Amino acid sequence: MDFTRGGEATAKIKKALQLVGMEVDTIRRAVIVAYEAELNIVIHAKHGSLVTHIHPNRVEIEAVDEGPGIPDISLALQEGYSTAPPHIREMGFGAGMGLPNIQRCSDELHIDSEVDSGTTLKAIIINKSRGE
Amino acid sequence: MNLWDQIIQQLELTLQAGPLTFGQVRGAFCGDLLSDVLANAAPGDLWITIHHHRNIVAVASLVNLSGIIISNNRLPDPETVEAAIKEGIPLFTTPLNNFMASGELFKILSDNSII
Ligand SMILES: Nc1ncnc2c1ncn2[C@@H]1O[C@H](COP(=O)(O)OP(=O)(O)OP(=O)(O)O)[C@@H](O)[C@H]1O
Ligand SMILES: [Mg+2]
Repeated sequence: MDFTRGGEATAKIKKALQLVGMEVDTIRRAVIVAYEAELNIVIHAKHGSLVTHIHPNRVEIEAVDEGPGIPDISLALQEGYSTAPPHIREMGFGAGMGLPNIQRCSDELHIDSEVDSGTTLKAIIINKSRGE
Repeated sequence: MNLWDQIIQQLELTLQAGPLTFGQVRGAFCGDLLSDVLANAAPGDLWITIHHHRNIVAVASLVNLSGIIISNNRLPDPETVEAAIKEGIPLFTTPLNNFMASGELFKILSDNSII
């Protein structure tokens, strides 16, 4: 996969969310979740897909990949934990902030992973209207 | 002098790519960890970074930043320039390092009561 094109799937999701008029904060959180999940697939997995379901009251983002899997999910969720190689770190990735960002921005998060097989991440972002 | 002109002059910016009219600068952010910028930069921020690869444009565009300044005389990759044109993100270079560029920008933004 072309690493420098990372973010293109997320850009499409952002456009769709803007088109249907989701709240600004919902779009912001969904964009962060989608981008971090997309880059995790690009950086850590072999290939995968990003599927978004848009409901009036919530956005569901599902990232499914085939790849090495995550042996210890609670460790991976810790801020600062990263297995990214040096050349990825040089580019400003691999701070171990992606999964914590996803967790902070989603109202519900489920991660399932099987070592040597792949990872499924499902995040739900509630579309809270202003003042709610 | 308008705000962009002040910034361009004080930070010795060279425009590498971008639209004819720039968006409003609402603040600034300096950082080289992309996940940090994504999570903590605010819409309208002008972003100072050492990175020059294409992904910086994706990040800036996704969180609606007002522009990118690449510090320390580093030049953007050709794909970065291409992406900035496509996304309409003003992309600059400066001879100043992150610290000096941030200091100059802080001064201008606080003088203009933006931060
Ligand atoms: N889809 C995935 N497949 C395999 N391993 C993953 C996947 N997503 C995350 N991981 C593992 O979890 C670790 C932490 O992920 P996280 O997104 O928090 O940080 P990072 O990707 O290393 O750095 P950053 O997101 O800050 O650029 C990764 O370094 C990697 O070991
Ligand atoms: Mg990550």
